[in-house]
Amino acid sequence: MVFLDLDFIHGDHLVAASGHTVQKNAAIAPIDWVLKEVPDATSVRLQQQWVNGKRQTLYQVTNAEQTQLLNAESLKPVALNRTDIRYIANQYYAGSAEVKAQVSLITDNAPSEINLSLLPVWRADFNALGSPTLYFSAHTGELVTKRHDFWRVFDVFWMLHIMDYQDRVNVDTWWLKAASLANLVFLLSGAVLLFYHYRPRKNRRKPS
Amino acid sequence: MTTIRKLHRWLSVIIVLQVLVWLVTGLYFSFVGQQRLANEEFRQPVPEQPIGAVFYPKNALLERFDHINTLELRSIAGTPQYVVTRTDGVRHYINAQTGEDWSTPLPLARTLARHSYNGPGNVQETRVVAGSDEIEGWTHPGFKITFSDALQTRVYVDGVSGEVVAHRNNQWWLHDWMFRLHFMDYSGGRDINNLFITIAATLALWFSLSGLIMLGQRIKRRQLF
Repeated sequence: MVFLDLDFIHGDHLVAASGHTVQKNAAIAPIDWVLKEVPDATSVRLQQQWVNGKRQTLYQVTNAEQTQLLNAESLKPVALNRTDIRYIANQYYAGSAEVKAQVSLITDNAPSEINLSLLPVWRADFNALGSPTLYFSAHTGELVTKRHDFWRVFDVFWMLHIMDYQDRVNVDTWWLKAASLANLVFLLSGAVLLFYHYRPRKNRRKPS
Repeated sequence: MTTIRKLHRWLSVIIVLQVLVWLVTGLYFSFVGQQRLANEEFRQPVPEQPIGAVFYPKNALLERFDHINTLELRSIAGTPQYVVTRTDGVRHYINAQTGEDWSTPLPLARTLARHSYNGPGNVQETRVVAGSDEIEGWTHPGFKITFSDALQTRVYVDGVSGEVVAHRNNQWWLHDWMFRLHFMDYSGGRDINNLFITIAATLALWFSLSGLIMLGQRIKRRQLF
């Protein structure tokens, strides 16, 4: 586990930095208008996203119930469909441009490699070395998780390391405690045996 | 004595102490558990609040900063704040009422600390700090708010962003040293890819393998016990 760079395991190399800049544009509605639409908004974010194959400026608005995208000019809700997600995934993916994403929507039965709280998500699979998968929020199209086979194998090693064979997250399983304690006893008893083996044996040959 | 046995014995002398350290620290993690290791016994997310009235227009910010990637408006315990994130990842925090660079006032820092805390204590002491020995990599000006619970929980609030940076308590020092010893990263950076641990892991692996090889040889010669 220590040999492979943790950033590599996390799949940081799988995505290219997206340098979209929000330009000043008189047509963008003032934030006051957004707050009139969603009075209990806790966060309003102006950003760019690919919609219908074009970069568009959007408001991402969050309140206690949900996060939604609004067109920054008309303030109409924007929903991302399969084509949009496929486009976004291909934009993010840092690998060969030849490899195209295959996307599918996950609303329940999440694969164990992602956090349940992220649902619903789109998964975008790339047919390349390590079978990379990028996960995007179904509400906002944000990249939420990156996975590849190196992470998946690392996760198995992590499971073996912490001996939580069920969820692979808890470091306080009884298996681990029992195994570590047994190991400690083994190590200390070995040390005791070693001591008896090598201790000065001046009493061995008693004068007869 | 065969070479493999010699190697095995000498390696054991070298590696045994680190294996003992791994075992003892691992046991410690196992008995303490995740939640307490993270010093988050009394931590809860700061509740998000509706943004409320904003006086400084976003257009002024779009003119003020270049290369804006996202521009977010949110509420820091009742005070609206803009977060401008540039394409190079640098963030600017702006008070959305005045348009000035954000600076967390002391009473607000105390409120945020209380909102992030669900333990039995009350605010005991508030101190202005610039970074902290207890938080690797945090160098901003900010506040250290100490609560009167048995663990002497300390909540750090960032002066530049108004975010709660971390919770620390009296067990933190011990937790942290256990991690340093386990990861063999004595700087506190908790980097598992460092040279020491790579070498130690390689030696430990060879120790196990050479032991297995010798065991195989013995089984072949039928002299296991």
